[in-house]
Amino acid sequence: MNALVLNCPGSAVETTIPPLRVRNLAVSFGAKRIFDGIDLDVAEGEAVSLIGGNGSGKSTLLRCIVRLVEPTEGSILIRGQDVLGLRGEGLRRARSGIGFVFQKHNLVPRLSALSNVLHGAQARAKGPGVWFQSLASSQMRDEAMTWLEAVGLLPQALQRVDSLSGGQSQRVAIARMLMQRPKLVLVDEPDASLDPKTGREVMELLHRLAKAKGVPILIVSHRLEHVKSYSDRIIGLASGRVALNVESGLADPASLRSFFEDAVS
Amino acid sequence: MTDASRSISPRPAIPRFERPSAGAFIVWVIVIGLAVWSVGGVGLSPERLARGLPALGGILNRMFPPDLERLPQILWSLLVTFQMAAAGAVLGLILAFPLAALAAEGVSPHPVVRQAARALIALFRTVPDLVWALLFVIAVGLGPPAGVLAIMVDKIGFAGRFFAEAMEETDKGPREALSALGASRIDVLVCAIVPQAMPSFIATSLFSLEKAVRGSVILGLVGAGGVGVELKVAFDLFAYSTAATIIICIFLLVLVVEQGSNWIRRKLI
Ligand SMILES: Nc1ncnc2c1ncn2[C@@H]1O[C@H](COP(=O)(O)OP(=O)(O)OP(=O)(O)O)[C@@H](O)[C@H]1O
Ligand SMILES: [Mg+2]
Repeated sequence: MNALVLNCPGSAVETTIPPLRVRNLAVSFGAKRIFDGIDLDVAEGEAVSLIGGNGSGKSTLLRCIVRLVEPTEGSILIRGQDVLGLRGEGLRRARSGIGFVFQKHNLVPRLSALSNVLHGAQARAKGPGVWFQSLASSQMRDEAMTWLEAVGLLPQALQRVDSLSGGQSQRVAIARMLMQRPKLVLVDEPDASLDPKTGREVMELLHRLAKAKGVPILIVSHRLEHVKSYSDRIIGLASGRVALNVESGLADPASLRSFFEDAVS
Repeated sequence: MTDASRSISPRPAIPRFERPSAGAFIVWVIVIGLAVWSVGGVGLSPERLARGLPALGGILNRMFPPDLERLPQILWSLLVTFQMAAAGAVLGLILAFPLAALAAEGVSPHPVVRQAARALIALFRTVPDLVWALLFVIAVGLGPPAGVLAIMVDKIGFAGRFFAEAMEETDKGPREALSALGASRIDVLVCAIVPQAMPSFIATSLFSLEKAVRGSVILGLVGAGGVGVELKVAFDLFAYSTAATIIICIFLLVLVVEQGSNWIRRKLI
């Protein structure tokens, strides 16, 4: 844990190190600049919404945090550790602590729900025991079952995920994320391809589980009502900058809506 | 509303056939030219065909009725042919898998490794199996082992290419999701790529087996064991009625293998 202090000079004067701290982040794809100078913090136990129009770089920002996209500049500190310098085993360990729920559930088709949930343990265990549920230890299976139960899908444990509905798939993806025992959760529009009711249920579930565990959560959503009900703070991206950063209780609905409208147009 | 807009701006007529570009025209001329030149070059004239057909008819005539006297030996070497094909195909498929993983984009650990694996697969695939058989007959001597090795190498080339393509075509989402949660390269290969590519792997494997059975007959002709040797001897001795029995047996074997593999395909995919 010494590395913690070394990597984060500012931490010495601060009382707590935030679970997520992004500083001066910039991403370009070729000559196309997506954003630069992005600063944001997510505090312990906090739920933060990230909003912005199509193409404003919300997904790209989340993907930088798990290193699916390489930023051109800046730093991303997870509990004080800069993840941008990590490689190999160190990167795997850092990634294992970050749960990511994608817009498209990204489950492995043709495998059972239980096997997909089991995959969440792949950073902390190696080998066939975390490949397929049939090869898993009873301890791992039990844990995976616990999470399937938490998302209400125990009866579907052995069903192939390609035979599940969109909402059920998204819940399996949430169970897989829980299997990681994450210390930070990133959520990229899990409600985008779901009907309003199912979308709300998925968001509700994510929010409830994160809050119950006190895990900080960063949510991208295009639905104003979700942004308002499931976050403590709202961060808005526009023209490659952080254009808004308010507590959701203080957010003026009209300006928020205009922000959505402005960003989309 | 649609009626109104149509009356304001009439839809332009869209030609049913597009005019070929100059490039496409040149390509067509080259392709047709090559075809004409090749047919002329091999000397397949109508007169030759006219002379050849009666001779072929003569041979067919001497083939019937098929001579069943050597049937036990023929069936025995037919079995050897099948075993050669199955052994060669299985070994080839087992070796093709890791090589394909090294050759597939997004799976391969390094571009240099990927290019090397691709080059090896291309070499195995582009050199015909008959040439491999000749090489292995020299290397390990006459008989089935040479045939097995030739089929194996040929199938590494064939299946390696299709396995790699199947891996590359898998959906990127699940692969990224597993990478993002800290899975290793092997985890991603086994858990995200293999399950998605499995139907394609099975189809390629069964097709490899069918190809191997057809191919292993020919390999006997260059001394690599199996029923092909019987066939060559029968033709060398002008024993056309024995040859007929062999050909019918081969036909039945290929038919059985194809039907069997269709059945497995239906059951597994
Ligand atoms: N791998 C990539 N290569 C090139 N450009 C990319 C890549 N990924 C994203 N982009 C571009 O970056 C910009 C930001 O994309 P991003 O997906 O982050 O936006 P977003 O805010 O999530 O939008 P949406 O609301 O539609 O999900 C877009 O213009 C997109 O085309
Ligand atoms: Mg997005």
